[in-house]
Amino acid sequence: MIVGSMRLSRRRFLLLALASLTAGCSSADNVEPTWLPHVIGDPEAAARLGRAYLAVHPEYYRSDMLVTDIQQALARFDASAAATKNLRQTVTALQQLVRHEYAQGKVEAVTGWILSVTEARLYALAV
Amino acid sequence: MFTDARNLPDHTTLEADLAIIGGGVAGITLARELAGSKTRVCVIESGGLEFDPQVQSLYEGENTGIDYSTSLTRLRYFGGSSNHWGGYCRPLDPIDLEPREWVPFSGWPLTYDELAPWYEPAAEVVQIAPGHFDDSRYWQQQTGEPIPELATGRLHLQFVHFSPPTHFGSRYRDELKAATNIQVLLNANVTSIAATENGRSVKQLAIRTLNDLSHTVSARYYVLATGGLENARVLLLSNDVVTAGLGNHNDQVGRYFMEHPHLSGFADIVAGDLARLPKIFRERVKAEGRPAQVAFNPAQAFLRKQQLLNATFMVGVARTYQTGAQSDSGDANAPAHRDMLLAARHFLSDEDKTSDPNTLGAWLGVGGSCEQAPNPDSRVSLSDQRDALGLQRLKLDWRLTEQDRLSFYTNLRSLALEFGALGIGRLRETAAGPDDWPQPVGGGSHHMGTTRMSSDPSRGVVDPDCKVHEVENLYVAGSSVFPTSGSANPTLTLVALTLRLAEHLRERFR
Repeated sequence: MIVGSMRLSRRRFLLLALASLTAGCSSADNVEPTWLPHVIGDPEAAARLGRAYLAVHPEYYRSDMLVTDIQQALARFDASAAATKNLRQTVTALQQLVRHEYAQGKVEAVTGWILSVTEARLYALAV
Repeated sequence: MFTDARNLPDHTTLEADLAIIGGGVAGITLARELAGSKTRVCVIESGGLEFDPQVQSLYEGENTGIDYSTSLTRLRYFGGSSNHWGGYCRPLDPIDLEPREWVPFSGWPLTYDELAPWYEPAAEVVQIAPGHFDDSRYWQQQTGEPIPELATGRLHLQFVHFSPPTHFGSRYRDELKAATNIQVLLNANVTSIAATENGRSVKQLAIRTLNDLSHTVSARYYVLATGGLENARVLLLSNDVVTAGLGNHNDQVGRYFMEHPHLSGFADIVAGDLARLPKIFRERVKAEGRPAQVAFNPAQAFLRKQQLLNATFMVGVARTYQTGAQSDSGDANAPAHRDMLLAARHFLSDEDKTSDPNTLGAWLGVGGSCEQAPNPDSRVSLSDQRDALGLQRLKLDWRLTEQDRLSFYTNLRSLALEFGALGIGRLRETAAGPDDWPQPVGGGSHHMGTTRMSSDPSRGVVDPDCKVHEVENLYVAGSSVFPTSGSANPTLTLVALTLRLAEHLRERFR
């Protein structure tokens, strides 16, 4: 029940947040960034990792904060991918960003798993 | 010729030009090098041709440091510990021989370029293919699989060769038997290296058998080759003239004992698509009929930059996971592995996954072996307990330092980053935490450092020629002379150093 209400709450925040975002996201009726299902695998498995990440990152108490930080990291890595509406380009860039973060050592331990920071945030978006 | 010392008349005296104490890897290698020459060689081996528990028990000792078996990690019969050798072969890295300001007591008194030429003949001795230890292009050609370029700058690839493994006793027995200048004395325990009155040279070896006979071997030169623990013990026991033990004027004998801490259960890797991981990365692959496998080592530039000790990691498939329902009973790791594989599916496999689409991924076990910094307090000394010959047993106090531990964790992190950067897998650190060593801490049966090599007698036991500093005619062979350990298995290097010593001794006998 707690999980369910968290998810509902996050989606509500996401709806509000995404109203101001256009690039890489769908219309406000679809609260999930369009690229999210293409970069995370099984949502439930991702959510389990995501919850562990959020447990040590209470600063992300709204989903839009995660989206913003992911978008900013993407923009720093590949500005055109962050700005484009081309889903394939965004997804590819996010995958490359995650690899890049591993190469740069920008990682965090989540229940022991060493994950790229953006990857962990993506999983948190699945919560 | 092979002779059983138990069958000789009591108080037999044997004479030779060279007496080699120990019929293990180093002793046999050295004897072979002199086979067929004019030099009369006597190899003195404590055991017989087969394992004997009574002889083996002479290795038992006291342990005051990290829990470690002094008897199970070596074998006391002809062929020595090669009789249970795993066969891993890789040269040391050049940085291992360098003085490193962040590694106390580091620096060999010989350069890598001086050591390197001996690796090729050493490879022949241990029956591996020569070279190509870090030549990705060669292995790519041999295996037909692309070898990915590493992405983090932290690691580099080495290709570990596997000896059959060579059991030196059985492999080279006939060769030594046929050599008319070589006598192998079996079941002969050197109880003391007797020095001249000034302690500056060896005059003879005192030998005892377990059936209570006493013999003597005298020679012009002597080589102590009884392994990294026993070399120190024999010198310490040889205290009739130099009370601290032969070669121990500067209290160096037995100090700086090093192992390669071998750890397990400290990390898992899950890989989404084994097609992204060349076979040679995860199992032994033959090239030119000889098996090899990738090892991940820290790049030397990274070691310098981060001031780390060396390490070696290897991975192998422990289990594969299917996409559908599959029993995970008894596998406590399965839920976490499955979650990671499912969550990261798009990062770890292609849409048109080339390997079996019914396979979710694989669990890769990780093996790690790391360098420990030389530490004078990690040491072998003599116990008050006595063995069946009445000799003091050894006392081992193996110690690791905070520097060793922190290096290990940083190197492990590099492995996690590399697998992530290559899109191959995700690594989970499963040890209790970075404040502790992963448990259990074991060793690789690699005993190093106790008669370390140094140009400075106050910093080591043997000189760059492996001659004991204070003793004119006594040499030491084996990994006990390593001043630092690197992270490569020591056998290939100890064979290389023994070949180098043989060359030096040939000059002496010329």
